[in-house]
Amino acid sequence: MNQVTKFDGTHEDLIHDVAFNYYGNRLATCSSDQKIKIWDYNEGEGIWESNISFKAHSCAVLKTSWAHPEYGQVLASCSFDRSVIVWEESYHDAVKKWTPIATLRDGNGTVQDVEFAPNHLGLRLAIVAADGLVKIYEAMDVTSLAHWTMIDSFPVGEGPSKDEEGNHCLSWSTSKFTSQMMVVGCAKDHVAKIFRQDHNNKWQACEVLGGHGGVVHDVSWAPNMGRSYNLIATACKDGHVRIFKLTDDSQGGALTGGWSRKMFNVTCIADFPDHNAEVWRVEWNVTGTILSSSGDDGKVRLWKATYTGDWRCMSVVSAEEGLSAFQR
Amino acid sequence: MNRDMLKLRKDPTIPPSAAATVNTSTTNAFPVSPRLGNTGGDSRGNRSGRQRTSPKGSGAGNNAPSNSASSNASVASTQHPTTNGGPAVGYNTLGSPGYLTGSNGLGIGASGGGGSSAGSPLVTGNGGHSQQDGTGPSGNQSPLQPSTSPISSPNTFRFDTNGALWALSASPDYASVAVVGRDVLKILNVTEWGAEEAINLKAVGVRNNFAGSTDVKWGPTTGRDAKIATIGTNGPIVIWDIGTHNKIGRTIKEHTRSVNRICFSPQEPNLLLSASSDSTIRLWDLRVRDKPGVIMDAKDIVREVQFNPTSTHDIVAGYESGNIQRWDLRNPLVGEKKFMAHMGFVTSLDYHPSGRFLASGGRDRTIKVWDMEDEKRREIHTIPTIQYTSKVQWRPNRPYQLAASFKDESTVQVFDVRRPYVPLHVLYQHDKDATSILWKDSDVIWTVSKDKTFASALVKGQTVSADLLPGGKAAMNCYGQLAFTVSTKAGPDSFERDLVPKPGRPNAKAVALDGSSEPMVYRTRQTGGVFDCELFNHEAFIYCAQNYSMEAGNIREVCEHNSNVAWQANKYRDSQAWTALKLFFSEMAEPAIVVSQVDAVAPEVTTSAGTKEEEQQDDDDDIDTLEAGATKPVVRSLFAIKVLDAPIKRNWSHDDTIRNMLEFYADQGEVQMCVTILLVLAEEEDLPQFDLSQHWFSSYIDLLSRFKLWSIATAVSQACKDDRIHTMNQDSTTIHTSCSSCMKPILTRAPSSSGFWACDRCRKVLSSCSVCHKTVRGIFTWCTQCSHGFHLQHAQEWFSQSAECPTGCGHQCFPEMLKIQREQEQMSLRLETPDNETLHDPSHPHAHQHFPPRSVHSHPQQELASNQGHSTLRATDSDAKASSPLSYLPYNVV
Repeated sequence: MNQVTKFDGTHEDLIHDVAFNYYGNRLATCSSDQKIKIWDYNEGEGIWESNISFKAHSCAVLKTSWAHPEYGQVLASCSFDRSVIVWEESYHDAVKKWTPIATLRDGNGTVQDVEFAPNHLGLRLAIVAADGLVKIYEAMDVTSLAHWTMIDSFPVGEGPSKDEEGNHCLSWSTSKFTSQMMVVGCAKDHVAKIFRQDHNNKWQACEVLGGHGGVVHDVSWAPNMGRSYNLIATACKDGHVRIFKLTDDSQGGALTGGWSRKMFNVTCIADFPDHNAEVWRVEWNVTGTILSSSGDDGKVRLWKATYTGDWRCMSVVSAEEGLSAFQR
Repeated sequence: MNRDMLKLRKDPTIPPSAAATVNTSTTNAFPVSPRLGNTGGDSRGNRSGRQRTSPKGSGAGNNAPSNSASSNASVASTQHPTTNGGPAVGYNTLGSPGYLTGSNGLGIGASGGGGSSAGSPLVTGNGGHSQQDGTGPSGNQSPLQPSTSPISSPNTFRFDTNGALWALSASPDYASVAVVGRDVLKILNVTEWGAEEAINLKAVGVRNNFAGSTDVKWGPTTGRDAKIATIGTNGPIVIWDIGTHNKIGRTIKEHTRSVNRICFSPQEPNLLLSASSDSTIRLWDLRVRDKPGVIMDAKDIVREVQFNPTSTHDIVAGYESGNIQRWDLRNPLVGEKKFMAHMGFVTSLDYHPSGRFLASGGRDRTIKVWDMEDEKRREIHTIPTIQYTSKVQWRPNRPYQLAASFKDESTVQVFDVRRPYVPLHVLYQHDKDATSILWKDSDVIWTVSKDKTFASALVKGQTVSADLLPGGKAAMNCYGQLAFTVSTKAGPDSFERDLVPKPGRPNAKAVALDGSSEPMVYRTRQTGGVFDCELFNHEAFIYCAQNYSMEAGNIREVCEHNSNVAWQANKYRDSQAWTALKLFFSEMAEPAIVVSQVDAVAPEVTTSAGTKEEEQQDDDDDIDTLEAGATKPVVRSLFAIKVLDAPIKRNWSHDDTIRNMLEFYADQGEVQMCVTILLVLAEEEDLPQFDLSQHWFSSYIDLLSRFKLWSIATAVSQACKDDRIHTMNQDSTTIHTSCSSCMKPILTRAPSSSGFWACDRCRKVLSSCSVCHKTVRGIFTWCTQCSHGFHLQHAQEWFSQSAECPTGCGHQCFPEMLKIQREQEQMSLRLETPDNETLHDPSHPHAHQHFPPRSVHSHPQQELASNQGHSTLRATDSDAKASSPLSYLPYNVV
């Protein structure tokens, strides 16, 4: 382990999200203190430096997502204040500044998750709010990001969920050669569902990832990387981290662009209660081989498959000890 | 007493339905209307103003002192204090005190012989009102059915008033509340199970040219003197004598512009303050009918005025300019010095019950807390809010907590000022904007809203909003770094334990709102950071990406090369795989070697003895330990090499082995191996087809892009036979150019534009030849050191005679050309055509090193959307600009 850059004290309240950009050399943190902070990697010294911090919303900022750098340095954030703001870094007199270029505020409730679509779909943004609607926006003119058009909207379940009933969450499938897919955590229904575009480009609820004993706090669709199956991880309020394996069930159609309501066999291949406290977030690495999960026990756990396909905890990161190797 | 009501019913201005409403409320609720109580002459209202008695044990016991008179069996034991005595008979006569029975004790059991179940909700939710009409006066025997939602806990209900509400004020004993709006002027009787309309002043108001009201205050006086003051939407302040008659007692019209706020003195019940847009604050003594008000000249539009609850003469006013000023009523001519509190007008003020601190809400979307004893007037807490506050009020008996309603916001939020960013509770009582709030006691808050409802909410036991906030997140980048935050919850109610002394100015006077300790602020139990935990061996990946040969056709040599590369990168298993491949495709190897796939879980490769095998085995072990350092858990290598004594013929198919190998690597996420192997074996005819190969290619290209290895990505894309991959970097590739002197983007489509050949802004010729000074059309060449460009032909001519740059810049362009000439390259300068194939010819991996990136900035700029780019690259993308794959390559498209 080399240099550690600590976040401590850089925000005045809880940090809710950390997000790397596409290249992994910039980092955005957002917090309840209504600010977003951008960190840049200083390769020379091997440390992360915080260059800029700006007040983003008038409530807690829950999530941030980077757009593909092809579109510039663009960031989207969502908040309790019911809005999503798209930010762009601009230069004015050699001073870098993040300016809000678009505010999307047509929902009726906390915007609980925001994520840019994979690059091959263009500059698209999916959001899900407490009103139980997933909305997909697209920037029609990528040279001016001020105009976003809602191109799709679909309900994830039965009506809205109050904030205390738990949050929605979503994650895009990054696969380039299939129909558009995403997995959505459905708040009070205590399940996650896979949504897919059918032949008429209409989003349909398809497979259900069940077995959760509480609200699904987060979902993450692993980068496929040409595997014959897909992996989806969920973080659940009941303290479990679960990994679902989606194997092709439609005679080759799933990976080549065919459509049917049932394309995958969903099996839960791992179910870890190790956190023993609410698990808030899960996220895959870029190759979809390592899963990170973070929970209320104050620990980050890293999960990796052994060569026989069993998922194991490979290490535990805790606040007190830094990185400690996992012993089993 | 029915005379008034009859009048009301006959009043033609009231629609029939409203009349019916009045009627039922007459029979049902009349007994508890405050004015009735006066017949008993007993007014034991709680006069302590802000120092309310909080219910102890019994949720309904806020009027506990008054229940001594409730000997009547059918009457609830806790009533409005002013209804004791005489009116009790009235209950029986009317036979309808049913709704009061619910307030007996904690709502368990019936009161006396009343027969009404204690939990019977009188008004439940929105539907309550209409139900009254149907049920009539028989409420005692047949409790109203819960309409939409059963009431699960006391003090949680909504009451529909049929009109948007703007303000509310409670009677001193909190048994009644006056709610006002544009079309509403009502007094409701409130118990912990529901509310009911007692008096509708609208009709009286309409007769007196008084339609609606923007603010209401219930005077501290009780009994016959009970008053409420309202601000009419049409201007005057109207004082209603509700103690004796429901009529207008006094109308104050002295203000020349609209009145924004009124406020009764908590200490002197007949003193009323009014704040007006005519830049005055006026003090009215309501005992003397025609006495003019004392005028305080504020010289600014007065938005808000409040009494200090602990003082008779200390008032504070908030202004349009954002200033706050304190006045002493004993000296109304001069106020204290104003101080700047907010950017934008002051929307709401509330004195802390201690009388020392002041909370102010401003247009700048903050709530600030001021120490009024500190002469320096510094805010000691600032809460940034979702919208600007419409009303802020301190929570009784909780020195650090306050509640606020907001403009255009349906929720009411309760804050602890020590944690300014996250509200303690968020109350979802209303469908539309909550306009005003009032703490009934320390656990119950009353709110009114534009959704036409008056609501009561039990704050105690509400979800703590901080518990809903995610406290941890971890993310990994492609360099194997982990960024994470984690928090620990110290358990329920851990808030107090997470407080730390407020880091303040060293000289700042220590003030805490509870008057005891030093000021504290909340600090999260969260930690986090970024560190390199070697989750991905990016160095090996990049090394292999740069050095693997992807050449097809010559399998043996390429495999050997790649095997060495993998070995250099410490990828021993990959190295072995390459060796195995080499052997597969060897023409009868020297000693015949059989490579067999070994089950991944097999603990050891068992072989018969032999020197060579032994060595191989030892190697294997070393590899394992080496690998163990980097990635766990350890697994045996996949392939074992056996050397057999007798050579064998290669007469078996290895398709399956190759298939297994590729799928194994794909499962490991090692698309680098998959793609490289596929490319190397591309010429092999009987190679099986892989459905997933295009996924591998696109994933590998994506990974290469993440490491900014665009040249390699392009090479991979070019080498792939699959059309979808092969055409990736031809999709939507856009090259932007900008003027080399003023950096203005060159737009070719604008009708008035000069097109490619001159810059619109600085009128300079673009891409001019340094020799002939004309625009270069076609292949543009330039010296990468001094950045001067030429026609190809002119450059050839010039540099055949001179080594120096023709511009006279003094740069020796010639030596480099000499070198190139020696190599018998094409021309005098290094030339390339804009064809990706030659650009990224892997046989010249270091070609670009001759061209330092600085040439990017001094030449007509070009940017290429990344190879698989979907659409246009935007000029602000610094990353792509600095390291765009083509930015340093010496060609220009003109």
